[in-house]
Amino acid sequence: MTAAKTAAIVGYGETNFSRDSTVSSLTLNLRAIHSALRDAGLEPQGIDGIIAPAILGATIDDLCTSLNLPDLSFSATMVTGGAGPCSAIGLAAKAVESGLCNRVLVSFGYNGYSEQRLGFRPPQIMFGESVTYRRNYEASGGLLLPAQYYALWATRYMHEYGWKDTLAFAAVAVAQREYAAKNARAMRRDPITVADHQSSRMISSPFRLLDCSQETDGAIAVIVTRPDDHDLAQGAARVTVAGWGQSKPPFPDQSITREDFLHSALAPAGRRAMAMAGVSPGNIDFAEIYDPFTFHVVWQLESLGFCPSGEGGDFVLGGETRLGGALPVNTHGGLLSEAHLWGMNHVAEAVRQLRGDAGPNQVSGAEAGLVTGSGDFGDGSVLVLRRES
Amino acid sequence: MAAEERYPRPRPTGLDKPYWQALRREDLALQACLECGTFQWFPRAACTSCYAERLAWQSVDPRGTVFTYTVTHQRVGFAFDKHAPYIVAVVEFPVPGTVRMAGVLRGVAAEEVRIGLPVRAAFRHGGTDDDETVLEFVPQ
Repeated sequence: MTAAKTAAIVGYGETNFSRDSTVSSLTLNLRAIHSALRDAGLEPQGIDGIIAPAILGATIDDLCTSLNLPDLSFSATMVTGGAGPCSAIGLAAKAVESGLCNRVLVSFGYNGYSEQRLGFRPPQIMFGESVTYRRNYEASGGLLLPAQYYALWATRYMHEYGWKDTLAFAAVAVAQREYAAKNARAMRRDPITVADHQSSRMISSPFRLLDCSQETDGAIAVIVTRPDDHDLAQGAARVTVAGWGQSKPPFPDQSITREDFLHSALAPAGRRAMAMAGVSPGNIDFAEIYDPFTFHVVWQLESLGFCPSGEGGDFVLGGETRLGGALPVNTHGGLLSEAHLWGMNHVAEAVRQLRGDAGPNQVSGAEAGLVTGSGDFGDGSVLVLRRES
Repeated sequence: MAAEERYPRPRPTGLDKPYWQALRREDLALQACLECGTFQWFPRAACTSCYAERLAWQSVDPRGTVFTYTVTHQRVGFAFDKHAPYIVAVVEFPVPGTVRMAGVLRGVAAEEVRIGLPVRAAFRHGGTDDDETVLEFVPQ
């Protein structure tokens, strides 16, 4: 047998998702981590690298102490918002492939509802000039919520492509809720209709309540190992990190004065990830697409090349993102209906799909899946994951 | 004062103080590059077109057009809530460079706002001497 050249995800673990965890974010992280270690058949001392996908929740020092690790040889913290999980997994793969370390833990967990409402961006996730930008040039002008930032993009997009209604947004919400209804972990499982979407309360136009993701307490951890790691439990299901790409947009600290306002960093990130994996959009069996708001799914389907620019709406209205469609999307329900775990839940769902463990939402014969992450002001990161052959 | 009664307060920095001083005079001033003539917003340490550090604040024509907008109904925990639903507009100004500024657009009904609507700068003066004047927009 020739040694694999590509790093693999060999374990994942998660807590339940709720709005009232009653424990600290560190405890949530530790529960997910121990679950991931059991899944991989590893002891904590087998970990020699940690990447934090965000600057919320547990720090690397918190985790290193709690796991009593004697000699962490690699660590890094991602500061790219919702692009962080994909970047953390991609960087973990490169760290083990280059020999910097052997096994990397990527863990994210927080009380995104009960402690720090995610819908109002917590100030501790801002650094540098961004603090002044948010306060002096946006908040003072009434621009405060993530829903508003994304709404500004959506309004402009709808104008440029001549949209007269938001039925395509409804199609995204309904399709993802259908997946969530069959996912026992999902927080929102009650079926919804297009009419429910169109009559849900307006948040910030064009977004209604059912266009918006939720806020969640919970944690998810993933373990990435080097290709030739033979100490793992025999038969551990491996999912290879076949491709990774990322991109920062111009003026990444804000979106409104970016010359090309609808520039999407997901486009170059996706091209790089698919080139590294040697695949094209037609070879992708399913996608877990970062979905803080319904519109962001439509936009990314175009940016990633799954349909031409301006046709993302028709793609979702035609049912292509449902099971049996051209590209099942957010087969767990996504941030909209499963939970908002910063996109780590998208990675976890891709692992389940490629292991054949996705239950009623299993995409039959899934060999390659694409996962995206996106930061508020446009950072993009994309993974291509494969079932190890 | 309860949070819902007040607006978010800007804190002028060493860089943007002239902008806030201009707003108090009901004047719209933007950072312009003395080397290449490009205007820029947000204020930056140097020109993002030619990297020159020689920048100056210059008054500009306060008329622009709505580039994009959102009508906000959701509570945000500040005095904006008293006027909900209110329009947050991004307004583009026809100066050299890409200058778009965000602010509340008043004087137009939520169902009347549209991309391309001609607007001009308006000024919301603070309640006390310590409060900065904040940029808003009204139809031309």
